[in-house]
Amino acid sequence: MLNIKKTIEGSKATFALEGRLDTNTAVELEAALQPVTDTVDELVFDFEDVDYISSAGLRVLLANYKAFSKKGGMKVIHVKDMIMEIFDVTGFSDILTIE
Amino acid sequence: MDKAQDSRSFKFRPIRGSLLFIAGIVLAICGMVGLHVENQEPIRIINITLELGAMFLGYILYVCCIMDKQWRGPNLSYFLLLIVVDMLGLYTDMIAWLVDGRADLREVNLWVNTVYYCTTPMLAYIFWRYVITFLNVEKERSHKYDVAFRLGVLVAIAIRILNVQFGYYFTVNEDGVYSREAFFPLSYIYSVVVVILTLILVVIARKRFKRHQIICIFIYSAAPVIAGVVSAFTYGLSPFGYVAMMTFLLMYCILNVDQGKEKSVAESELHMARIIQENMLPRVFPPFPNRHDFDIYASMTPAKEVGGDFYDFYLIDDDHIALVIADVSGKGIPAALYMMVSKSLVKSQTLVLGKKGSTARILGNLNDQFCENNDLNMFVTVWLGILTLSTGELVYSNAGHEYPIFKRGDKPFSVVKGKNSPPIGCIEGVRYKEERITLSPGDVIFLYTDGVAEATNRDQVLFGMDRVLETLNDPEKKDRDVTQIDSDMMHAIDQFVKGAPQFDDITMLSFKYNGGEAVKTEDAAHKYDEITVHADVKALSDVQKFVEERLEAASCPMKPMMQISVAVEEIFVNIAHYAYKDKEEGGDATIRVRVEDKTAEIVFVDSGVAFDPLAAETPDVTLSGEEREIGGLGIFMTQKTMDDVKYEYKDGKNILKLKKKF
Repeated sequence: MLNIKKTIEGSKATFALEGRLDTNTAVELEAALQPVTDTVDELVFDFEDVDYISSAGLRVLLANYKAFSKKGGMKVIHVKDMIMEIFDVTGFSDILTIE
Repeated sequence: MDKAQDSRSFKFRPIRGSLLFIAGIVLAICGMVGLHVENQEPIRIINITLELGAMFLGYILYVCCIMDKQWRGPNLSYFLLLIVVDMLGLYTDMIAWLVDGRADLREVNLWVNTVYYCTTPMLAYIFWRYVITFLNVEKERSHKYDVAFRLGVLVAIAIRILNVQFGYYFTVNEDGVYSREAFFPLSYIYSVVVVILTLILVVIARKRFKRHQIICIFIYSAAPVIAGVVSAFTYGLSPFGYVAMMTFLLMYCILNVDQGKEKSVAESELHMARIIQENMLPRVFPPFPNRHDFDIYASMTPAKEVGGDFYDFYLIDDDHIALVIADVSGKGIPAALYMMVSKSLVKSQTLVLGKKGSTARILGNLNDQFCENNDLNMFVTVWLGILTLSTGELVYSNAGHEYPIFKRGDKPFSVVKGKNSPPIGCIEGVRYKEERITLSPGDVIFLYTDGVAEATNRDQVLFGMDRVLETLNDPEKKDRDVTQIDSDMMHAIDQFVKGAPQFDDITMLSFKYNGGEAVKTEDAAHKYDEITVHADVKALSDVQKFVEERLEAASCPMKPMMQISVAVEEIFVNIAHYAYKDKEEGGDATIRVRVEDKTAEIVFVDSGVAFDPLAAETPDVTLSGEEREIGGLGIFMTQKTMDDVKYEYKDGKNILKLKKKF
């Protein structure tokens, strides 16, 4: 159960997610990301309505972080406390650009 | 066949010999009475008495030699021949004295004297043979002497027979009176030469003797020679025969008893080793009188030599029993030492690793330990099984051992040819295979070593696996207990071999599984809610829903709920991805949840490949994104967010427990 809302402004793509980013939905997200990864320079994940993330979701974030670090970068915005804690525990808060 | 004949002739020899000797002695006594020994001169009576005594001595010595179990082969034969020929000499000499001076018995006197004269070179030649067989001198070196000596003895006998006609050694005149002639001393030439050459041989081969043995041999040879010389100059005494007999007695006592002593010391040490070894094996049955969920019986019937078979069994914990049967290559002390070491190593490894339920891993470790220092290239075949008594699940590995025999359900006993691996100690780094089966109550395991199937009867026929199975499946003896299985098998083997010597240890272990009461572990308790799903990521949401519903019911706050959910996902996905990787059809996973006192307990059970996710490497969270590998992150997160995560492999199942207080 993950709703993905994709907005592209020039070379920047924003993915507003809503729901759970788990093993199954991470696949959906990956599929949604695929067409834009090569066309845009900058990637933004809006986590405002994400209330669940598992390692599968983190894997997607990490893969895109690596892909975009050579371009305009990737950032995650509006992260909830609960999710932030997971980023902290896993050390992702040190890697990712979180606003 | 040879052996059989050997032992048969061995039985008859003393009887035959005894009859012959006793008849001879009785005849001699009859002769003494019939020929009026009382009319003889005192010196002759003494001489005749001594000869009769020597005959008795010879008889006793003959029987002793045959009875002596340590002494066999040509050496013994020559020694016995020495006694017999000397007896002949004594006998003829005695008759000669008795008939001397009787004109009517002149012919008898002449011929018994001739025979008596012949015994001297014969004795010398046999003595030579005796010494070379005692020394085991290489045939080539002694052969040319042997031919010469044999020829010599024939010539000597021929000359003695010609003496009847020409009378150069001795004559018996018309009145029946014996007298020596001019060439009498020459009759000793052959004997003296042979004895001297024999002594030279002894000196050359002196390293094979102990000092006192050499001195003895010299005395042996010297005494009869001196006696012969004495008799050459005195008339009325002929001490050669009985001095020779005394010498034989000494020879027997010193040379051979000495040998026997060394042998018996070695044998008694071997015997002690045997006893120590046997005491290593558990031998009190029933071993666990309080346990009714299984019966066990084992036995080892050792061959004469110390061997390397062993069996073993022990409870690893209340629910797991280990069964071991093994055979160390080779025989004797090296095998016995290896057996001791192997037995201890198997046990220590099993007790440490047994609960994890992988016999393959235990044997692998064992193999590596064995290969480390194995200059002797010894190896051990091991069958190791670990049975979970509550469930009947048996895990076993076979390192080159005989296939196990199982009786399962209503089916008869049959050999189960599973995956075999090489014996322990052969190749380093071997991955041992393992098999898993589930026993039902009433099932029987019969383990054995090669000594069972390879028990051999006198016709060199092997007992064989067919007879083993036939004995186990005897229709008249169904539902035997394990002790009877063992004793019936032993009885069948005994009946088959019929006393043929046993060359290998016969070791058997019989185990009957009576079924375990369902053990109530805390996991199995009804307090848990449980869901079983196909281990696939598609079932993830069902699992999470199942868990979350129970958490919500216990009014779990959002944050810990999410953390638990994440943990559940991580563990479940892990199972879905890896547990049944080797099975196309996949498998099930069971998730149990219990929420009590604001603590959630979640248990994951799957029967896939044993895998401890907690043992996986912890990801380095300090690495930068580019360097980061994502594997293991989920488990890592779980460990971080849960209060307690425990993994265990039990009864062929992976069990992972999570605990989180909220």
